[in-house]
Amino acid sequence: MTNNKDRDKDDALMQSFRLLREDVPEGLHSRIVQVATHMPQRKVAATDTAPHGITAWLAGLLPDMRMAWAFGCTVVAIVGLLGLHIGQTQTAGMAAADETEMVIYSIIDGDIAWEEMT
Amino acid sequence: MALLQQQNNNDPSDDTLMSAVAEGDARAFDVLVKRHLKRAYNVAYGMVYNATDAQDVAQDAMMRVWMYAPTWRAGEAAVTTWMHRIVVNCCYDFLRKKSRLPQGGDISPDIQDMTANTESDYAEAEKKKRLRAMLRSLPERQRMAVTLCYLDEMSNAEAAAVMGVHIKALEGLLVRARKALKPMLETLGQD
Repeated sequence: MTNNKDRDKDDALMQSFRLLREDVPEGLHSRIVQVATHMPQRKVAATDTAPHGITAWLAGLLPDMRMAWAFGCTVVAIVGLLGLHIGQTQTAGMAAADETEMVIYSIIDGDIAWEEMT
Repeated sequence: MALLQQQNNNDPSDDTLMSAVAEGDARAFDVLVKRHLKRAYNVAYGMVYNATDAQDVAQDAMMRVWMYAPTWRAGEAAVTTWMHRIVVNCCYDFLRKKSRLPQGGDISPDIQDMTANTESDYAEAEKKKRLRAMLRSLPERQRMAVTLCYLDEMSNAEAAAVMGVHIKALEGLLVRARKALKPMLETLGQD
């Protein structure tokens, strides 16, 4: 009850904004009509009308297809980047293994100096 | 013209007028502007900073009505709602452009408020000035909600449709606006 009273009081206060209603300045109406009617109107092409039947179905499908393409491209990009990263890691790993192997062989062959080993 | 002539009564409906305007009927446009310009101008005046800017916005909106009339479809939206939506968009466009101007360049004195002659005229002009300042203190969307619902006296449902928001969202905007304006309106009543 009190809430309703408060609301009515607030509404009565807000009605003050009705005071701000003004008459249209003289000449505005004729100026608008004069200027606007010399402007070209937007032509509505036959394609602008709402599609029917299979066209409507295809049009409805198009946003879904766009989403599917976007999703597909993202997945391909992620897989590609992941593949590139794994490939690089493996190459680096192999190079390190080759080096270790060479050191071991050098030790066995006795080509490597003690200082180099330490 | 032909469509207008088919209407024997002097008061063709908005839908009839819009159909005629869509076909390039300048006479129908003249009638439509006469019917809706006052509301469009007052909504614009509620949103922008002075009468000159409000005239520019109202003119821009009415020109868009003429240009885009062929895209209006009967039954999709009432003419008043469609036209008000254009006015609202023009107001937002205008305010966005103004906000890009350097500080201090956006609020210019209102010539209309300075034309008061008698004491009562002056008091009323002063009251209006304060009311406009109160409106301006609100954020854009709250200001639009107050302008549509209290200045233009639209129903909440209509105003929500014009602003493109849910009716609950509009009510929320009005509640916040009322809360912010209440102390200022109370002091205005005391003076």
